[in-house]
Amino acid sequence: MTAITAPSHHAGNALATNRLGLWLFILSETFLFAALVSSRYYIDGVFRPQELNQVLGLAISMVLLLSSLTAYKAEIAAAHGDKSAYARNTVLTLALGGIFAVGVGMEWVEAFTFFPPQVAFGSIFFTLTGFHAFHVLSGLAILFIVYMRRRNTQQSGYWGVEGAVKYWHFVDVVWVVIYPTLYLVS
Amino acid sequence: MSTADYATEQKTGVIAFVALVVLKIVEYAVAVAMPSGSFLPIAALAVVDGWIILKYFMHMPQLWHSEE
Repeated sequence: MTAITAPSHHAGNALATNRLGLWLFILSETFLFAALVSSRYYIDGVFRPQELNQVLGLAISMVLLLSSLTAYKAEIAAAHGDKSAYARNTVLTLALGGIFAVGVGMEWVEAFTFFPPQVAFGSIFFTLTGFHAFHVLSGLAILFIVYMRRRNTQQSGYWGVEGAVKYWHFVDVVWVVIYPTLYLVS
Repeated sequence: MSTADYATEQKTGVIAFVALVVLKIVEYAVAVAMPSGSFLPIAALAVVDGWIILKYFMHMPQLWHSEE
C-alpha cells in the first residue's frame, strides 16, 4: 500500500491555517458577546445603579490590561527563543488573571446586595460578567496547560503560545467593551 | 529575528499598554464628568481601545499580510 503524503506546501501553510481557524473561532465568540452587550441596552437602556463600584471596575480593568502586556511579552519571548522571559511573563499573566478573577468575585458580593439577579440590571450584570469570567478561567487554564507542556517536554514550538495568548487578548478586548457598558455609560 | 527586532517589539507592547491605560482613565473621567449623555464618547473610546489590542497585541494584520 502506498502511503499518502501531503504536499510540502501544506506544512508551510499550517501556521496561516491555524491562525485563520483561531480568528474564526474568535469571531464566533464575538457574536455571542455582541448579543449579550446589546441585550443590556435593549432591556435596561443606559440605566446605571448608583451603588456600582466604578473604582473597583477601573482597578480590575487596569489589572487585565497589564496581564495583556505580560502575555504579549511572553509571546514575543517565545518567538525569540527567550525561555526565561517566556516563563516569567506567563507566570505574571496567570497571577494577574487570578487577581482579576478575585476582583470580579468581590464585585459579585457587592452586586448581590445592591442589584441581585432578580432585577433587570442584576440579571444583565451577572450574565455579562459571568460569561466573561468563564472565558477568563478558560484562558488561564489554556495558558497554564501550554506553559506546563513547554516546561515538561522542553518543546520550542511557537503556535501553542501564540494561540493561547491571542485568546487571552480576546478576553481583554471583550472586557474593554463590557467595562464601559456596565460601569460607565449613563 | 534579531535582538533589535525583539527590543522594538517589547517597546511597541509597552507603548500600546500605556495608550490603553490613558484611554481607560479618560473613559472614567468622561463618565464622572458627564452624568448623562456619555454613551457616544465612551463608546468611541472603547472602539479605539479594542483597535489597539487587535492591532498591536493580537497582530490582526497577519491575516492579510503573510509576513511570517
